[in-house]
Amino acid sequence: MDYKKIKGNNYDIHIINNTKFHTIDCRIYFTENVNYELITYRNALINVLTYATKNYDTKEKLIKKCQDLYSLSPVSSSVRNGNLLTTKFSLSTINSSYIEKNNLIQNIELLKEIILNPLVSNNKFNDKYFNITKRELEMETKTIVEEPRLYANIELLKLIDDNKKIVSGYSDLNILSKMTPESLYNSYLEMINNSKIDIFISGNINNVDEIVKVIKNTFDFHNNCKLSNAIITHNKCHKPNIKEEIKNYQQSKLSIGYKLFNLTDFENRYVSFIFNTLLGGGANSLLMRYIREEKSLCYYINSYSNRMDNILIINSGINKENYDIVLELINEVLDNIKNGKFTLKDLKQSKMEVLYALSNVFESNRNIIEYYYGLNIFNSHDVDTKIKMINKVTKEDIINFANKLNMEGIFFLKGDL
Amino acid sequence: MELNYFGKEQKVYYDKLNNGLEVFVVPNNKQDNYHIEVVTKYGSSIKEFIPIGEKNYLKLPLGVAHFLEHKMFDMEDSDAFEFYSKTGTYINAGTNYFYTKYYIDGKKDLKKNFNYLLNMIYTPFFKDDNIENEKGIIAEEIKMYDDEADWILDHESKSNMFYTTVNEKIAGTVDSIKNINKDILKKTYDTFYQPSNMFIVATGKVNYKVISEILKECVALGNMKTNKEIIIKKEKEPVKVLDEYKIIKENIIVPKLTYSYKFDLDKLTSDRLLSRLYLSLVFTHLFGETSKFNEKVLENELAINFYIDHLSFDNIYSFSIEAESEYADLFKDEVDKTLEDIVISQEDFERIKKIWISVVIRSLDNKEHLAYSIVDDIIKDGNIYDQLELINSLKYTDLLKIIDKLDLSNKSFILMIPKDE
Repeated sequence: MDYKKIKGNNYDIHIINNTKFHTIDCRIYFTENVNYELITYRNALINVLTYATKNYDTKEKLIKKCQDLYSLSPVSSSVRNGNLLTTKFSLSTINSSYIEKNNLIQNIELLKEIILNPLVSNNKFNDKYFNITKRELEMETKTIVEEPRLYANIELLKLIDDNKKIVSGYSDLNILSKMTPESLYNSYLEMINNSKIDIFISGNINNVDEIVKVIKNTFDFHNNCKLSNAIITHNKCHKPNIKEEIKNYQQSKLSIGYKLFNLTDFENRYVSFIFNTLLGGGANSLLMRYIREEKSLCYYINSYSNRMDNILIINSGINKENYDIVLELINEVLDNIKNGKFTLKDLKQSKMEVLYALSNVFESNRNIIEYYYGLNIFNSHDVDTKIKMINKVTKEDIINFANKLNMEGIFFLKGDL
Repeated sequence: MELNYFGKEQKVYYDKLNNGLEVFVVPNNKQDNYHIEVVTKYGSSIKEFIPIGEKNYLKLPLGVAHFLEHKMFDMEDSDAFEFYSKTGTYINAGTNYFYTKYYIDGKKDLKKNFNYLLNMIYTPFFKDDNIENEKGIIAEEIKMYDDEADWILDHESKSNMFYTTVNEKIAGTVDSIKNINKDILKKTYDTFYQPSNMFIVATGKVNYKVISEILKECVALGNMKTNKEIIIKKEKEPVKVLDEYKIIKENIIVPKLTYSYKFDLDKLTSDRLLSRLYLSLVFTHLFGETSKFNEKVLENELAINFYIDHLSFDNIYSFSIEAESEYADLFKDEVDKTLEDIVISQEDFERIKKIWISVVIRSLDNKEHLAYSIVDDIIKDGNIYDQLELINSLKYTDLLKIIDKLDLSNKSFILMIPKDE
């Protein structure tokens, strides 16, 4: 795999030449400092821009053009990572002797059409696709409550963070109601003019110089913003905020949120992953083995940690009568870790699971691009360093880490059926 | 035997062992990791059969296939999850109407890991207290899904349309699993986990020779009774839908609907595989992303979003549209209008073929997706085909003939509305 980073006009071009796949991915990333309102605006933008453009002014025309280039349809998403918001757009074309020709250059040009030639007139987005987008996002948010697992998780985030920093990626209904085709267009201009912009091409590229030239001639941006540190830190511990809500369900959902305090860089990057895998990261985790397999109290119990937000969440689906006992057993598992009551074998297995997950980094163009994006934007370490550092995590590190967790919220969605 | 899966670009190494086990090895040595699935052609749709060595039919409580999948992870002297954790290998399993599969994803120790998987599957360990313990876990799994509106709608629409096969929940009910015991699990296992009723699909960084050697050396597999005839009480699914209309109430905000059509493949062509492909092509064109229908739904706000789905077994093929819509009747009318006059140009036909080729090529890079497609083909057609040849064999004139033969009156509509309406 051959990686090259080249300066464009106020953006970086990243070429990852490899012969592993039948596809070539082109992706453009806009990274910005996040604020609460921006999440909803970017959600709208990723839809509006991929519905239609000036030259392909209906969804049907745009998708047919993509299909002509063997690209299926444009993929876009907007994801918050701590203090940063990443909005990305991509097209993926085929590289195979079984298709007529390599369409990479046309794909790059189509990506430009999607991003820089939107269906806009009089400084506002086209009303039809704006209204469709707004309605879709509104319904997406309103229907969260139909999915009890998701709902419990989002309500928990509200409990542990009242500053609206650690928030889900769903749109806010108030912000949506005030959004207009004009305000969305202004927000679009801000993204184009004030983001850190990165363009990635990954796949089998036999004409790198030509491709770089095409990108340079195709994309021209005016600014390149300075980004904040992505990691959110917490200063003050709080007593857990506990909330119970009763709904018409058979199963109750228990979500518990912890904040992580005063982590070192090593703890934040590495110990957190190993700790999470050990606690509730998979079928062999301490929570699964004890609360599911031994006590038969649930079908699922898992944890996930977010190193950018410095939080850890435990989720489980339980019988409403078992709330107290499950909470007690979760605390027992955590206390055992704090007291070093876990084996070196447990630790080693957790490391192996994390290492296997790392080996999937190079299994798709998408993962490869995400990996290089992480190296460039989040100052992530390369795979070799990661492997070395993961192997350095000790039992003592895990015990110390466990003592830096503070339970800040419990959300119990109690099923009354 | 060497087969083509996608022209010369993707080979499949195939063998049928003396014990009847079929092996499909689909190597891609550009990948770093391997994916291996061991599959039994036994899923929740089998409800009654004659256990090996017996004379009378055994009627199963609902949920046995799924329960058995959970209990196959129990071993007498080791723990599967712990074993795989040692090398960071991922193990999981899944049950559907037609098959149960066990799979591993890994980078290291293929030989050891595959051998362990075979041992896990071919040395069952059923213990009464473990079985009782599992009932609590599975009951929570059932309750979890029973609270999810999309899951409920999916089940209700199938039970509204089908008399057999896919009309019951795969995992059964909280009550039905209470009747599952060691004897039932053992008889079911002995019958359906015979190697002659199973196959293996290996993708990613795999080598036929290595897979073959492990299979030959596996003592547990060698000890299995096999090649015994399996007698299943087969229910013939009527072509006519069971119910045409139904309304249900659930914990939702926006109404949801499923509109389904049921067809008899044997009435279309003499080849069920081709009939399925042509039908899939018709509905993808009429209701897919680039369809006029899609544009109308968006423009007139007839639905917030909608998906299309296909289901097929034996001579039956069904096509469904699932939607979230505040205007269910208008949405339904639009579907009817779209089907009144089906027009597909030759240009559209060629474009869809091109998209399908692109989808298959993409799947070659994704070992899990590729294995899933191959397992699905084997279950549906008993074999695999060269996808490139197959797609290129579709003819526009044949498509038009099929469109002429379609009976679009055999349909079922189910509407889910909020509880307070």
